[in-house]
Amino acid sequence: MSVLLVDDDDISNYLNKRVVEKSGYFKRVDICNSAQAAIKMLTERKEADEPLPQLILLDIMMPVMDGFAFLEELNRRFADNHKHFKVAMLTSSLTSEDMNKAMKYPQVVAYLNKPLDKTALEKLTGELGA
Amino acid sequence: MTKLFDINEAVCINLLDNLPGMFFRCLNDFRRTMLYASVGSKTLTGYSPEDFMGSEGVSYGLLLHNQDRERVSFSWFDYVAKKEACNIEYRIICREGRVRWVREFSNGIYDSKGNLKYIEGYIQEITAEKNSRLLTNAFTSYQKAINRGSIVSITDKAGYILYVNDLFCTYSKYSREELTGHNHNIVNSGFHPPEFFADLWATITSGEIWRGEIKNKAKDGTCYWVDTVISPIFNDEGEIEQYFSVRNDITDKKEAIEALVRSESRLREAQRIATIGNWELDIQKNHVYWSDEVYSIFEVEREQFENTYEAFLQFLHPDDVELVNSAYTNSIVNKTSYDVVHRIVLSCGRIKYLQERADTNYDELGMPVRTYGTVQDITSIKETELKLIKTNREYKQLVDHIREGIMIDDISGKVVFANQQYLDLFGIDETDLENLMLEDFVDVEYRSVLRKRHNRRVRGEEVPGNFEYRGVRKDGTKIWLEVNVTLLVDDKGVIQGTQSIIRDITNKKKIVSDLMAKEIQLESMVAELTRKNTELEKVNNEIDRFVYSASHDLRAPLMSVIGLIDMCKDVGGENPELMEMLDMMRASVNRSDDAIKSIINYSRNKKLDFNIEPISLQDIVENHIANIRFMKEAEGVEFFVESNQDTEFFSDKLRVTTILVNLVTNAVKYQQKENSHKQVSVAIDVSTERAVIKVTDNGEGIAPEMLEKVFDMFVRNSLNSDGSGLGLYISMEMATMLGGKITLESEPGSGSVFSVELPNWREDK
Repeated sequence: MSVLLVDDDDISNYLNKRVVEKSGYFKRVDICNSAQAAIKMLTERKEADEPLPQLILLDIMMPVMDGFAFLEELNRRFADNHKHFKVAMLTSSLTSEDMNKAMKYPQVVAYLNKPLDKTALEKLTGELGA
Repeated sequence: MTKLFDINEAVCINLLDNLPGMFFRCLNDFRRTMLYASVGSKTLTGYSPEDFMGSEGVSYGLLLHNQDRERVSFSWFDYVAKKEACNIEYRIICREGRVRWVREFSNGIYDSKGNLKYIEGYIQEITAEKNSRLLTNAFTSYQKAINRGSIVSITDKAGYILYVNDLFCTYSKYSREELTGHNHNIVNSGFHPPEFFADLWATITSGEIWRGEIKNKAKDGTCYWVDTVISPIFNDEGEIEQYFSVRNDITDKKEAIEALVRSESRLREAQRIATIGNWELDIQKNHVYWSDEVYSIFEVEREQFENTYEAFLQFLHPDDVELVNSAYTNSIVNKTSYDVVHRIVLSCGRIKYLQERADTNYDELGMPVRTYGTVQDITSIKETELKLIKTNREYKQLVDHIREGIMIDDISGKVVFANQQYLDLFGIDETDLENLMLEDFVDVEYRSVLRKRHNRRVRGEEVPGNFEYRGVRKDGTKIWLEVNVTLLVDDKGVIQGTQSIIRDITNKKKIVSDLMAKEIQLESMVAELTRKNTELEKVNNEIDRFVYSASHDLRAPLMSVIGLIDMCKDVGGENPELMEMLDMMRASVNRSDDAIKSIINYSRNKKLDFNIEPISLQDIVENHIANIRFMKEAEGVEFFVESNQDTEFFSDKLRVTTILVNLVTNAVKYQQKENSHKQVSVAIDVSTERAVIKVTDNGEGIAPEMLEKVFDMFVRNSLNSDGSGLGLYISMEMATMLGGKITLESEPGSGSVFSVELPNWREDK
């Protein structure tokens, strides 16, 4: 199982990578420090027919392209992408508006508060049947 | 001459003497001087044969009944003259005075030359025969008379008609053929109950005569009443064979009686409606008769009244006894009508007004015999009268004390009445009222308007009753007046004039114009405020955006720090000092995060619209407890949640959640560390009106002097507190916005109870 971490904050990415690796569920962990980079990577891998990540941990508040813009772009580029990816929002946003908005995307399966902890991740992977 | 019987005279006389009746031989004279009479004369006339003998004897001719004498005397001579045998019936008056009917057979006896020698004959009594013939005649005429005057029928034992007379047909309107052979009940009207006919049959079948009044029905449905006699007819063996009925028409009588009953009941009814009763006083016997209505006027039962004049006086109002007594006595003395209005006092104490009128009959000597009177309950009339007097008085008072001026004018517009206020209004007095017209004391520009309206109104046209105009006082000052005009109509519906109620509205007018000026000012203020409000809203939105991104930007690094701290603890090994320091770092970052969360909550509470939806308070509480159960502060705390919610609770979920989360968190946070039975219990009670949530802890409690301050902004209650000091403040703010409140009871050292009361915002409310 592979996971893609998308966050503009390097410390966040570092922390999340540690937690994800430590959990032992994922063979491959990719990191993108912007939403654009993530789109680019996913596009390239799809074109190269390389395997795509099953889970994306996605921050909301990012410069230029935020988490929601990323999801829109994903929908635009990858038809039926929700069959390929599962997305978990990972954010320090406390507003329920953000949560409600996120839950409208079919591929979003979880809304997690930062910092990512072991328990929350275990619960998520359990639900994904990993 | 051949002898038929060879008998001697002695034998012959003996024979004649032994036959009934009287054989005789007499002269052809008026006396009928007897030459011979048989012994039978004694039985027939009371006189013996010897009494008749010779010219000195009793004259048979004189025995003739006066009414028969002439006829018989002449007949005797007639028969002789015609030489015919005489056969004649007549009456004689016997010795003892009795009248007897006799039949005489006699012949003249002639000599060989044909000269009359004497008369011989036989006289026989026929009284019985004569009477029975008379009786037969009488019976026949009686039958005729009955047949002509009565309705007759004969029926068989079972009531089937054998014979009816003409009158029966006339009354029943059936033909004889229709009736004969038919049962008599063909004319039954159905008016009488079965028992009536049962009694009839029981009587006649027992051989008795029945008599009674029967209502019969004719063929065309009309009814007639008959006074009926039914008699059984017996055969020779004494058994009843037939029934004979004779009836007489009494329809007129019956109808008269019915009419009388009807008119009597009508009279009673009329009395009841008019509440008039009639009474009679028999003066000699001192007996008073009251009709039913009198009893009901006096409201007593028949047995409660002794029927004397004195008993009547008992009912009178004490003040009226003298009045009634003298009125009645005077009417007797002066032989005039008695007419008095007086009061009576009922047993319940109620007073009634009665009008009595009566006249008295006098005998030939001029002594009063009987007084016939009527009594009418006029209480309501009297009361109305009294009320009217009172009302009139009150109206005058009202009109003079009312604050408005009242003016009445006639159809020409001439003022006919004005109250004191009207005079005061225009600064005039009574003398000015003379020849005052409605347009006097009216400002010039309103005069024609008032006049036109008045003229149209009294012609019966619809004119608005309320309007304002300017009046002029006698001293020339102008006043604004408001008038309300109504039409005055007499009881026949004829328009008599109008009534105006006038009020001075000069002050009101002035206030209104002042108000208008103020309103203009107000409008510009409102415009200014609206502009400022829009500006503020813009600023507010900017602040909201700022808070949102600032909180994110502030929180994001804090979250990273927390993550890093946890990671350090993972990798840091067994250095207890380091672990303690990491915990302290974690606690201070948490505080910082709490502060940020509170600020966000606060700004969100100020900003967001309500989102009303059904909420499960129990779920909110239990979710939160699940979230914090494994936190360090919640270690060793027992949670109890009790929910009593059988109706849906509607409110704003976000705010309710914030409130409950704050209260439960506080209850956990302010436990006493040394307490071995830390408890937090939440009791939820929801009704259609409201929800009450009580959060109880057995923590450190709150000092009395702090009780009022805990809900203030940035107040921290405890030295142990690591909160932002915003939690309760925001909770209270939110509860208030939702129309609810939070109350607090606490005792230092034993715990606190926070009660949240929130209205249920159901759609139907």
